[in-house]
Amino acid sequence: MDRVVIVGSGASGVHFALSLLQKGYDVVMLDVGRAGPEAINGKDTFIDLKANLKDPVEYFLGENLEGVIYPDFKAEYYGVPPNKSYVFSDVDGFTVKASGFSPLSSFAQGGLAEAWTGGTYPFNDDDLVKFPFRYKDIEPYYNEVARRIGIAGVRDDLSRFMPVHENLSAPLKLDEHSTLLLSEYMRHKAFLNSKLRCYVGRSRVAALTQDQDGREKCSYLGRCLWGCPSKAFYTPSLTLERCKSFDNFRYVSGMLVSHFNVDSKRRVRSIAARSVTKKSWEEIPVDKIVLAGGTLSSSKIFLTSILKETGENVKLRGLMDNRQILVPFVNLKMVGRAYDPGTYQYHQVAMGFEGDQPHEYIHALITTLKTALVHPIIQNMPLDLQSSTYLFRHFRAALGLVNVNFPDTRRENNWVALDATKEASTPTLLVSYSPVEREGTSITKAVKRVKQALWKLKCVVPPRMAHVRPMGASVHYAGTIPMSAKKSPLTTSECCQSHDFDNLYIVDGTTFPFLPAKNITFTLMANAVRVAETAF
Amino acid sequence: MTDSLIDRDALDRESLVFCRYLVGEKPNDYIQRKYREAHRSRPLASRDPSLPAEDLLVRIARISPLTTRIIDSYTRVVRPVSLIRKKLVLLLAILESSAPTYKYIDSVDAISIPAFLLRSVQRFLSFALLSAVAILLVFPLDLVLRGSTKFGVSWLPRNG
Repeated sequence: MDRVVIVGSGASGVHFALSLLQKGYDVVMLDVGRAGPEAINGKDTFIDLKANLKDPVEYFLGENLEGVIYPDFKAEYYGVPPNKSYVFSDVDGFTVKASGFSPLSSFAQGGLAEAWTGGTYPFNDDDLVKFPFRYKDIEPYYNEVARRIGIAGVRDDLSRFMPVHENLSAPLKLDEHSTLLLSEYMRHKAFLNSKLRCYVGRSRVAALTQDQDGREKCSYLGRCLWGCPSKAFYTPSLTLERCKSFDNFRYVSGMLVSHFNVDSKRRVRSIAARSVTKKSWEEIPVDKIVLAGGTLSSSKIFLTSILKETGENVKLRGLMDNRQILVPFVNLKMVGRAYDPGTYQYHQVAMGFEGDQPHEYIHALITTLKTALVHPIIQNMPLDLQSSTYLFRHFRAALGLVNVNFPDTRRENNWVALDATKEASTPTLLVSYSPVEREGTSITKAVKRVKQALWKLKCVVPPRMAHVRPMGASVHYAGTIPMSAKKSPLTTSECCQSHDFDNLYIVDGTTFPFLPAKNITFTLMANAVRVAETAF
Repeated sequence: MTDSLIDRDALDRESLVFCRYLVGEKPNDYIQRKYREAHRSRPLASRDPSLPAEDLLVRIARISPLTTRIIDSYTRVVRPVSLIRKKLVLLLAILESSAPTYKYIDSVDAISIPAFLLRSVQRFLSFALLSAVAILLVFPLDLVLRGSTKFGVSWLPRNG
């Protein structure tokens, strides 16, 4: 059997690898592979940690208090705790210069999804309209991924937008706030469905409600954001660990892949990678190469390879990302109640808004605020800190956040290329992004619908608090080398096989020809398994 | 006394007064140590030490919890990114992460909604009043000191 070299250990890479390993392939995975810290005090709740840790400030705010958000903080706030900062830390040799885009990359074991929020929403036929396959073609692989990772969810009103695949397990316990939101939805369902075309239901999340494969079911410690100690919450590093148990798997960390070398028949013969510690270069021979490092990383490897082979500086067009709007709200029925940290911490309820066209569906996730750090919120309240703290304590259980996601399409003026002005062994990646025309109008309309829906759910949105996140913030990048039924340069086949290099496959978001509003990660995993099962 | 001891005393005094202001109790040794250590980190150490207006606000704030509230109200309106606000936010972050002070921040008072609303209105009014008083009393001095800095005049000695 061919020796397959996979680049990257993110959601796509590890599921692709696992499928190949089960089929008996020899698999090598090249990765920078930064590892996260071990979970501490496994049985402690979020509150217990504050009381029991020897140095809780170091845990919650970081060794150098880098988790403190001061009043002059201007950047986009992601709320990533210090113990997950490794997920987004840079590596020498991967530089990006962006315009209209705020790129995030990961060189961690497990990739960006080590810091995801677990939303697992399958694409339906409307979402797949520009893909060269239909839902029924990918459904078996959604089923397989659901079996591997464990997905909690139910059939409800959101099923009209999200097919109900196999292997859904019982839903997680709802918190009080989310229960109230759903009961208000049931009371006003007719109005919300008909007037606002808004549907509300349970989130589908990658968390266990029963023990599985050495992972314990969710015990509601309230530590999701800080790193689940029982592994009930799925991250790709768990699948990477599973891959490592196979004899036919070799995981090579500490390597940053720069490019691949091609023979005269335009087949990839080797990979050039640089050790991130020794700074030395290695050439690794391949039979088949699979890029799975994420859209920016895969695009850069692809572009660098072409530049080194032909001297041509190609532009890859069609970069996509979900625009996200954050809409904070106060649930009036929850004011004055105590907050309960002993619950699942990410979104438990989701909203779906029908668009004028089926593919214009807007997806929104409702997070009820619990165990995040609170000083960034308190300092932004319009009072002195003592009064703000007082008010916040009584509003905390009532606070929530709707994360509204918009779809994106491939457009010519959104591209990635290499900075050809500098002579360097590892050129800088240039990214350029311009929003779609009249985006402001569609955002305003959508936010108005969200506010109206929230009002029906007995929630109010404080004035001028909706926040438009910069492009790049959702980290759902896709589309630069799309799948295409037509064999043309800078595209791939339906099986994600490059039309430019025969033995090159790209199994991350790079090949998606359209980006629906739903979280992309579940489909990344299912598509990677689809390719592994059908093309290998 | 050495500079570092003066700094240490000043910082301990700050954490004591600011902690009483924010959560109504004294800080323990751990909280005071973390507060001191934080002042070695970049965001608080990088301030311009020759800016006497910033020093003045800190000095007034650390007199008592009441003066802290007055200066906090003033800076919320007039100088939201001032040094004193950074110090208060820093301490709030430490307090929410540490025992036993997190308990206050994580709890709600057992009061009725009308009582809570009444207390909230009181809070808003007192904030407005204190801000107005502080603007009348502190703003001219603040303005003069900031103006003097531009011309290289330093009227107050350095402190932590």
